[in-house]
Amino acid sequence: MSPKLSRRRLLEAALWSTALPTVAAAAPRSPLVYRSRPEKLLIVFAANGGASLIDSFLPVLAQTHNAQLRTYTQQQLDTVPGSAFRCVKSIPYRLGVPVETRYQMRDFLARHGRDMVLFAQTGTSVNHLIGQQRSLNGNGINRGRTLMEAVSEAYGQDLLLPNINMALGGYALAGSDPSLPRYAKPEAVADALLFPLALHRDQSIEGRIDGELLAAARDVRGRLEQNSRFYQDHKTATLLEEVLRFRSDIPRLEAAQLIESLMLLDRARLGQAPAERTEGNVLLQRVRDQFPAFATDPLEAQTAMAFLLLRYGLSTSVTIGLDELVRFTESGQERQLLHLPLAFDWSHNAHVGAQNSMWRRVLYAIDRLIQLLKTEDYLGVPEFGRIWDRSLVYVATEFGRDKSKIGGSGHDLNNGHVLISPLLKGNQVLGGLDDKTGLTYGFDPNTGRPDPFRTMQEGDQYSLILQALGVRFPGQRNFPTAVRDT
Amino acid sequence: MRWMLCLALCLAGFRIEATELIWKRAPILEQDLARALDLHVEDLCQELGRFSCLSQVHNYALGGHDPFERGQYRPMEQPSQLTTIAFERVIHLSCIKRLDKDIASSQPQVFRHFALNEPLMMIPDTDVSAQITDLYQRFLLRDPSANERVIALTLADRQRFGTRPGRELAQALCLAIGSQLEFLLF
Amino acid sequence: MKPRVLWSLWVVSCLMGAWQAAAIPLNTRLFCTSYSSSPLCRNGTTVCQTCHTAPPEANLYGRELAGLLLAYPDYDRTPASFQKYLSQALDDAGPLDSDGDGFSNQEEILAGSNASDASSQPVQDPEPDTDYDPELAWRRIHLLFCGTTPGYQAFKAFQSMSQIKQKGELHRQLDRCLRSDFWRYQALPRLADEKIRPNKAIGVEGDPFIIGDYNYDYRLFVYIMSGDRDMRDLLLARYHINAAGDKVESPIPDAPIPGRITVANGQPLQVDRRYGMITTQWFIATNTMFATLPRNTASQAYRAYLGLDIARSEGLYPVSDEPRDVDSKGVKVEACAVCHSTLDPLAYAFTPYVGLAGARQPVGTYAPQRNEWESWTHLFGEPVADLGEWARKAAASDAFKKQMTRTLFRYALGREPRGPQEQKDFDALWQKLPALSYQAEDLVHEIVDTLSFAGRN
Repeated sequence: MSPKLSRRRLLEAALWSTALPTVAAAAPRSPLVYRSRPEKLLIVFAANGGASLIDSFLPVLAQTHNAQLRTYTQQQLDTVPGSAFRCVKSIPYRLGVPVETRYQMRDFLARHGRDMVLFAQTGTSVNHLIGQQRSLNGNGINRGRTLMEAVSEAYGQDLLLPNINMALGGYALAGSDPSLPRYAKPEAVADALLFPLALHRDQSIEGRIDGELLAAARDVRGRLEQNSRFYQDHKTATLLEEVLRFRSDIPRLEAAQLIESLMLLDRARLGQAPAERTEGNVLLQRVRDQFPAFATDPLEAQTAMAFLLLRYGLSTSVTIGLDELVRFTESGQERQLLHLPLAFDWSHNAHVGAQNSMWRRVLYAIDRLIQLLKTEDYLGVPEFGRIWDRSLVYVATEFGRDKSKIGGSGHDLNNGHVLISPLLKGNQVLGGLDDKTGLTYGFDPNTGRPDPFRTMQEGDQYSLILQALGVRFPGQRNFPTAVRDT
Repeated sequence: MRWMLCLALCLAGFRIEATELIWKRAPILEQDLARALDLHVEDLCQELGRFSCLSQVHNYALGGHDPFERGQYRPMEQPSQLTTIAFERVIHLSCIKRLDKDIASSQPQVFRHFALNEPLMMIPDTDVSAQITDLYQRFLLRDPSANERVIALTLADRQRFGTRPGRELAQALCLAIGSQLEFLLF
Repeated sequence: MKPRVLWSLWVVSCLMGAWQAAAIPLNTRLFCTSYSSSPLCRNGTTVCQTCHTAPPEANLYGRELAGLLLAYPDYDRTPASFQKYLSQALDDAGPLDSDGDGFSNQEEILAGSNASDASSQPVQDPEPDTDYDPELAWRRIHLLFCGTTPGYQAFKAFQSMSQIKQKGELHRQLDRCLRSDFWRYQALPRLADEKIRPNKAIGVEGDPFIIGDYNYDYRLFVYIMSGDRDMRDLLLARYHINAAGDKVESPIPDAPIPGRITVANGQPLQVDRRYGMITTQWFIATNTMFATLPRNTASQAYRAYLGLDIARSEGLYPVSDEPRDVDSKGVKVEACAVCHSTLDPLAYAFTPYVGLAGARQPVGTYAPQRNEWESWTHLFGEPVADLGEWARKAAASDAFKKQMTRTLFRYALGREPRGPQEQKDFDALWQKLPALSYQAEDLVHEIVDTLSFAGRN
């Protein structure tokens, strides 16, 4: 039986133990591609299981005429001055053990509400897998391309890892457009902590032969292959062609020395690298500090990795996703629940508790990410401005939940999504909410005014997101009042 | 006759597929690599000295999937960029593992055809050739052709690498032969 | 303390929005009336993606068809109009080349390639020059079913055998491999992952909740798919396999685990209501949950064991006067009824099987007081009395044969059947299943004898 990952050992490895000597600031060691770089960056947070907007930033206030709906009292709601939104306060919930309550939605509003847009939308599927796919491909409006593929196609041609997808289920599936260029296809990443080890063929390999002999070995391998009967027999086989093509791209990836840049685990503590203070290591430490549970919480690890990928100009689209495994955290002597089984879909069992817990979990991670994006320059170059200036976060989810106040909740097509970006005209709700039914409704795309007789669907939101990111496609719908001029 | 048929079909626009290949995915790669290097599966490649390459770190990139810890119900359809890098790492790390065991043992199992601590300049070509044959048989289940043998022997370049210990040549040969795509695809 | 659990219903896909005449999945069958021999026509129906990227958006070929339909002066985009002209439009579109790859749409469809994708082209197998390669077969048999080969010496020994001896040796080795730990404990269980859909968080290792023990499902699957067992037991078995590997032909009660909230971890269902994998406690618990009408249970059974995915408009056999919308979910709306007129009748059979409904009756048991709708059940558009008849009819169907053959074929080749040779082999395989007594191992023996498996050009 192969040794299993020990999260405790990872945590130990992650800790810095010694004070480090200072060195003068230097240019990033990663040889980045400056000639051609993406203009805009997309971060998709897959809120798996059905994240209901009326349980986060568009809550229904309890009144006499809506007693049958899921509502919140004034005391349960919060807001910040100047905000167009309300949010739900932390609601205690136990599932054997209490759910942690450290994070408040209000904090998210205070920090990022200015850049936030709520897009009221009704989807077209209450099936998890289908709903997940449609939340990303706009129900096929753009030849079956996902948002991530469209952005990667536009900006990712010269990038090393244009489209990284760390999510699961329908959020991890590629689109269905056969004309999509190969470079824009998603690269699936199963483990954000360890995946950098697949970005270099020999870095961090103890006892390896040196560069010259290693290069000779690879050269010999290539010649052996070309002269083999296997190659002669199969050189037109699709699989072989594809793998050879990938292999030809390796030197470009390796030149970037990405293990050094992306390895959240402290390789110094694992004896794999010297404990020197470099600019890259300083940044890594900053990221670790920002996501202190990265070694034990995959969501924090993914979010930390997303930041690094964007910061170093490796990707133009990163997708982060919740899994369905229950997770705990320790708070003092007490064990607390960090992540519910089935993520947002635990709402079938306990709607309010599940929604409140999971929304706060997701927003905590997004908050921390945006804080970093706002303080770091794109590619580390001040002239390029902050990373945030060119970014858009989309909290994808497959559907909403039903609105009736009876314990757990089923799936419901009616919902809305959270978009956060300085590329949008923030602090607004695109659409509205009927507090008699709990249903959201659409808006006039030309004026931006709420329209109770209009329903926006996946293709509308898809169009808006790409419009904000400067990506055009045939049949795209236009939202002039929602997107800032750039 | 066959070439004429193929030519005719090609001119007609039909693609003649070579025999399609199958990707040796992580569970099989693990077993087959362990057999090739005479290692137990648990003793194969480990990243950072502690994490199993094939069942953990590179499992998904190498075509496996974990339905329990990671909720993956099916593997990747096709290899990806990460697959090619992960494959070479796995072979390389496993070769080193085998080499370390053989160096420490009085009865080396795989790297037994020349002295691993002697410099290359002291090792005759016949011994290197025997090692090449052994590695071909282990990984690819065949003998090298005469041409392949000549190519592989170029690694025993005494002008460039003559002072290097035999174990380095052994590692280079293992990598050059074992990480051919013929071992990944079948 | 067990949590109070009040579950709502879980409604499967509804298609909404402006979906034109193409919104009618009956047209997937109409398409196959024109192209019945196409590999794109499974069970007499094709998939939406033949004409759409994601409905209602049309792909290149779909747009070609749309243009041809619009050329009819009286074409008014209604379903009736669409069906009136579709056949002719298909004929007219046949000689055209929608994706510009040099192959006509008809050539592509008959070959099974994608008429909207220039990179997908018909593959021609020059059959007379494709020979069975026993050495290739040897290597593949060992790697796929043993996990590794016996090595160079064994291969040399095989190579030195006569062709006749080689054939016998291949099957002897395959027999050995199908008894290996690799096949039984590593490879074969992975073929069940999509059917069982385990979730460690709420399985037998769940903490604090245990909603079911999916190890029973895996053991049953492996048992049925090995030895001389009949694969139809996947839908018909009235036994379980316990942790010791013994066959148990009686219910197994739940056993609360100290320190955990054990909702379910046994197999308490009465034997006479047991129907293989689709009535295990895990299957019922996680698919039905608290639905009044277990649509997801039915669709998962349909998908996993018959290869028909209603979410992709496959296997639609609308029943008249359905859906009845027994749980008031609004599925009578036209766009929803397209799928629910098949799905709801499929699901009635599962209603007596208790999901996570509460403390009164163990999860996964049969509650006769809930069988009011059972008699409305339909499978393949025909009435069936209950889940037992559902399961027997399903097990006897071509869809089941194809799905199980596909499961093993896909494992052996690493892909779906592609090209004329593979399609021919696949068809021969699933049709032979009754003659093989539905034994999975015998099917594997047949697969390895095909040119698809070991043909060399």
